[in-house]
Amino acid sequence: MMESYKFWMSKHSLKFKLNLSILTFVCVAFLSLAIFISKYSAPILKAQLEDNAQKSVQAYVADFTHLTVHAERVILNTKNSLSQMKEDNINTIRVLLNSAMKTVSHTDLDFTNVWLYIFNPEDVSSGDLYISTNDDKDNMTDLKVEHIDNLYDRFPWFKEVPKKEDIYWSEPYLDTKTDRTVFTCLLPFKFLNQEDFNGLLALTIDLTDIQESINNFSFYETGKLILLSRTGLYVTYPDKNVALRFTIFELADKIHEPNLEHIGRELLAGHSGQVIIPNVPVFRNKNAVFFYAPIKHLGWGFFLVYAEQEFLKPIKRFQIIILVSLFVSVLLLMFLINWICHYSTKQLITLSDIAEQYGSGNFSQSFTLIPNSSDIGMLANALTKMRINLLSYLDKERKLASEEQKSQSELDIARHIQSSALSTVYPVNSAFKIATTMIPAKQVGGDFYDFSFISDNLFTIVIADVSGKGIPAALYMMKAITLIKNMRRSKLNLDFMMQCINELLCEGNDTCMFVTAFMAIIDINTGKTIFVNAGHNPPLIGNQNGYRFLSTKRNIILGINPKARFVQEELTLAPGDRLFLYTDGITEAENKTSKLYGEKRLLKILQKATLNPEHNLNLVLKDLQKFTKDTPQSDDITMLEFIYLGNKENSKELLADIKQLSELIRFLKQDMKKHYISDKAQFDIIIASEEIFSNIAQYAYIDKKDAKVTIKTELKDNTYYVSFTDKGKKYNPLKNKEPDIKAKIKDRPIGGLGVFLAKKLSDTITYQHKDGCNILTIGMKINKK
Amino acid sequence: MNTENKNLTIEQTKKGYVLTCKLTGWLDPNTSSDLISEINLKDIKQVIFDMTNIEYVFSSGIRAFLMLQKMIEEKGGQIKLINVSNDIRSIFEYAGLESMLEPKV
Repeated sequence: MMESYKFWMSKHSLKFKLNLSILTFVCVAFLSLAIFISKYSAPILKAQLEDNAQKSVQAYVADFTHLTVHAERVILNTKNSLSQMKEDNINTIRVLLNSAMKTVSHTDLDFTNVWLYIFNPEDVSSGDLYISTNDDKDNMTDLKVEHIDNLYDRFPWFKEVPKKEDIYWSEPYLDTKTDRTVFTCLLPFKFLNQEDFNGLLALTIDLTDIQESINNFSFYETGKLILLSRTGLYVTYPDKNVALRFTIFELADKIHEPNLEHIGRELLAGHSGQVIIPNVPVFRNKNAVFFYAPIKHLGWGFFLVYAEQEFLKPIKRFQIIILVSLFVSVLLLMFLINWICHYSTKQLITLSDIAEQYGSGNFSQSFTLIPNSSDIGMLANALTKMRINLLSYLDKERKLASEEQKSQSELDIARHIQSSALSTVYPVNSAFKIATTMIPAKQVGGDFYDFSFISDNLFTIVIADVSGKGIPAALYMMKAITLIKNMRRSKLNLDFMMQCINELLCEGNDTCMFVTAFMAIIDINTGKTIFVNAGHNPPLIGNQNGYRFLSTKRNIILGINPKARFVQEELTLAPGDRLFLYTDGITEAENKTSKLYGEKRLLKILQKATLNPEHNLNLVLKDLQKFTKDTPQSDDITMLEFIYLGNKENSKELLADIKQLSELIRFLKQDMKKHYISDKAQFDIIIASEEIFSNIAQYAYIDKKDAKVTIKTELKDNTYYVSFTDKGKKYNPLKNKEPDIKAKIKDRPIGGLGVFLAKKLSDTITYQHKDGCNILTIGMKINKK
Repeated sequence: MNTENKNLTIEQTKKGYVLTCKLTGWLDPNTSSDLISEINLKDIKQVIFDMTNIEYVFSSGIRAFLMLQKMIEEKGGQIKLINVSNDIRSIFEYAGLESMLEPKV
């Protein structure tokens, strides 16, 4: 889980990660804020809405109450004035009505008129009507007087007016003359000292403007205010076809809404309250809230209705505002992040380019483009430091390298001198084979080997290891090898020779360098070997059955004690025996785990040895490399193998017949191949041999029955000898007169060329007559192939 | 093991007075006489021996060339050896018979 997150994080760019994390955070923060505010503000908003609704309704109730109470007061005042009057004096009535009219004209109320109706005590439906109108408020109000025979024709509701001393409010009705909705406040009156009512005092109020004001009132988006009269009649209603035509009860009945009827009853009973009606079609089948309040002295009432969800609208608006600001903020943030990232990564890319150049060795570019205080500035600072450090480091390295190069070339020269001191010419001899290997640990080494013939049949081999490594060891090695080379031809006994070498090595050896050495002198004819081991690893002796350590007396090492004596030992090598000389660079070679190669491994690999010493040394070397692998070589690795073959001559007996020629050539070719004789020398030997053989085959025997030739070959002192022995008549072909090769062809004899060619082609040619045999031997000097 | 001597094969091509012989094998005592017996010098002024495939020329071979040369010399002709290896050339030089060879390149 964690791994995949880390992988995901490392997969995307910084820009992407910043964008994602910051924008996610901002979105979450905004949305949580929006949800939090919505949740906690909803009840507050709801309560506030309800409070406002209540206040609005009560304000209208108060206004309307004020209006009607004022009207009642005017009427009552006028009635009181009338009750002080004796007769229906027209002038007095005019003054009274005008005064009342004036009083109401000064209010905001829209009074239409004030009138006085003095009826017949026997029939109230006929009488005189005095009407004061407010057509012109500034002037004296005009008083119209008319006689009415049947009042009910004009005011049908008049019948209901009780003849008692109380104010009566009519239902709203349409004034047909002015086409306005009005309602009237009525009060019966008596003149002074009268027992019965003389008439009615009335004030008509224009409702049209109030209706409009109520209709125009809107509460939030859905709220409407409605006015009901005493009978539940809609005085105002948003739909004008309903106003003044239907009562709330009729409507409730029509839409089967008992709650509405309940509201009507409550209002007319003079109660106020709040009712929620569910699924109201006008509010898209949502809940509707009704606030109602009565106008008590009229028995009328107001109610305010609005959709319950109204309070959610501000929340929705708020949510939209939040979303819009979120969107804008996110855009702004994205722009900012991208700009910062672009600026930063641009610097990073520049830095990465520079770092790459530094990496490829180009330090020419330095920079100061970024202030050090920023994060990238720190990186740039580090890069600058790195550049300076690298430059000084490289400078040091260059100096060191040039010094090293100088000493290296000197070491190369030293190595050349040293390696030229080692024996390089490998004698070609049928009696033995020899091979050497030396790999110095450093350019110059302390190991050396040496081999050489010191007489016709005596061959010396030496292996030595100088203490220490490097140049001091190499210098001492040169001294040792020179001494050995000088001393080996002295014909002294080996023990005494070693004593002399030791004495000379001790001279002036203040640094106490020393040499371990093994030296042997081998008689290649007999295999007799004399050896001295001066503190060296005992060599291995082996044959086709395997190798073992040669038990030797370990004499003292060379170079330490000038008076030391050495004991020489002796053994005889049989054909096929091998002497394997080596230094401790082989057995003490270490691998990675500090394990030593050891003698066991050496003995084991030598089980695969053959009669080819070069092959054997390679075998050991490869096994050693396999063991050490990449571990650097710590000591010189030196090996020498001497394989004794026995000094056997190679011989073949052939019939003395020229038909045997190809057999002779096959034998010679095979034999010469063993000794690595060059093609040219082989050709010459074959031609010379053929001439000798043909000569014997053609002339030596008279009786060809037992005619035979024995051919022997021998490789000795870099000369390849072929001898031909026959038992024919005694004859020395070398005494033949040589043909005149400068004569003209036509004068030249045909024969006599064969022996001449044999003489010419060979380096030596000898004739012997011994034990009744003719022995002719040709010798050809050869170089190792 | 083949104890027989290597055969000598002679491939002769005659063109006017010139006879070209391509030789393969050895020119030893067993084969050299073939050279004399198989080559007909009638109407021939020059014999060219292609020595490309000759491995060895022993003195018997040289003798055969010498005899052929003598025979053709009487008619005013000559023999020529071409494509002679350096080893064989030195044999002819020792015998003083370089004149039979084409000049060294």
